[in-house]
Amino acid sequence: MSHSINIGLKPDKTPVIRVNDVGFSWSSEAIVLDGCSLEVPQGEFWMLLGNNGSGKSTLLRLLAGLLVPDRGSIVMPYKTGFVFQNPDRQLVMPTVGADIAFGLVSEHLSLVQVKERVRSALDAVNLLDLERRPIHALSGGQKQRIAIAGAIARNCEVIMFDEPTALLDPDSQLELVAQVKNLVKNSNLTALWVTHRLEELDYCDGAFLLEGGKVVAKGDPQSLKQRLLATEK
Amino acid sequence: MDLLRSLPIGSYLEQPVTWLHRIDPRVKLVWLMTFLIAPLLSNPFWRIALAGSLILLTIVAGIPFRVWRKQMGWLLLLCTFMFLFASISPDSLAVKYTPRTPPFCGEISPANNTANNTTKDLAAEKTAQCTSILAPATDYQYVLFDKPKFFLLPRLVITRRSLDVAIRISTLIFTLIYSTSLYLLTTAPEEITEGLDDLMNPLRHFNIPVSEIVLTLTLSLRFIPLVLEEVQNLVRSIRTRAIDWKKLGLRRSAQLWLIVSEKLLENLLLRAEQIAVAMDVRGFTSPNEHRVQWHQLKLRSRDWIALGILIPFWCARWFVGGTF
Repeated sequence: MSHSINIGLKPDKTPVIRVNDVGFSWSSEAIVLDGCSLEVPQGEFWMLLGNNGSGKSTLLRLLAGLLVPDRGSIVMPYKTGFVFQNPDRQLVMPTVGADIAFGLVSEHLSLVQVKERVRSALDAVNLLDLERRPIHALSGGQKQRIAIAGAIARNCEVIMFDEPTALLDPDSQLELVAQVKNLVKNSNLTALWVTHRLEELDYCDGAFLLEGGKVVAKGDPQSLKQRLLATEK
Repeated sequence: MDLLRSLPIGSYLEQPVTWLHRIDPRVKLVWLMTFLIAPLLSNPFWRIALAGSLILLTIVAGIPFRVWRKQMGWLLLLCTFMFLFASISPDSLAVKYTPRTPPFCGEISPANNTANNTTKDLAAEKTAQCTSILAPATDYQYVLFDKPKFFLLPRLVITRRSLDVAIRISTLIFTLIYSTSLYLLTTAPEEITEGLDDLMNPLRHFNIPVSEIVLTLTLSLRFIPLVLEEVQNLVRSIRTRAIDWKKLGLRRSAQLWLIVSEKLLENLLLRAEQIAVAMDVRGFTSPNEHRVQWHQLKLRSRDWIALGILIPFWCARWFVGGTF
């Protein structure tokens, strides 16, 4: 991480996501990540910023195990959940309760335990009354919260968000990010949130700036925001 | 999702939870099959009673008026139209005409009346017999309504046959569509598939991948809204381009729709791939092992009562509802 700038960095807690010198390319000409390194401390809400094509989504897919890095290492010892940009591509069952229960099959729980987990996850995202609602009848913001509830029900310690507010209106966008902040604060969750909206930086504990396939700045979100706003001007 | 929300049929009602919602999905499936089979080869009164019982069931179940008004409204309109149209249509029945006059009537003509007086008297008597209107043997009338000019129609005829066909068509359409709709209204999609999974359980002994079939069905139920959404987005994209279809001509219009269909298929395949990735990330095991548990399939007393009612129902169908 010698090549990145630290901006008002807080003392590090134990990292739950550790990416070390990761490189990834689709072909020899299309290099996406080149020596990318970052660490996300436990129980914190961090954001990953960058322009289109900077490698944010690819990095998240590498972290989720959907892609394999060409070089470098990724250490994530905890159970990880993933929230995609478009929740319609993530929610697979016809109604809310059944969709959250989809992720619990591999744990071989009893029906009572499944119901308990689903209700507690729905309670965490304030959607307990929507248990029986068909997915197609939900709003975009509600769908994203259901996707988050799916990860919470699986007892994921880390949740990664791939631009979850990209399809939401400004009100729903800030409501969702505030809710994730509260979730991280009230439970022992760690969140890594990909975005390119600077106003969302007000809610996180720390942020990374990704450029040209590597982290070029990291640390205090407000300082990073000021720096980016100054660059824009 | 306007297209999906505007569809009045097949949507699940999650609130309020009525007693019909609480009945086991397998029992409801048996009742649905009963409603689909019972109208076959039955008399018109039975068919009307079936349609009426569905309306009564909807009211007794306490399904909100705003819901069934939307669902039943257009269906009743369609069935009424079908009934009226079939009633006034020609019945197309090839009737073998049997004259109710003595057989000698065809032989009588004025030319034959040139013989002597005795023969003339006999002929006059026979003519009187032939021309007098015979009183009907019973009060049976095949033609129920016959008016030469009726509003805009040159002639309106309603026969017993056309009325029977009208009742058959309209009640059959109503019963088939509305019973299915009521089932889908009060049963969550995954309840349906879990019920099917249980009913198809014996097939597992023949190495048939029941769980895989059921999971595929569940996913396809989720996929239907996505397909509709894709169709709607593409239709909107075409509309916003303000294409002059008249100027475009048939050949170029067909080419354009082919391109749109290709795009639709491409988008759907992309969505399917993305959903498959999401399933992997969310802990999908394998097609024949991933049985999502969400509903408890247990027959309670209300389910046994519902099953028990099937016995008097089928007895009534056999003894009262059969064809005359």
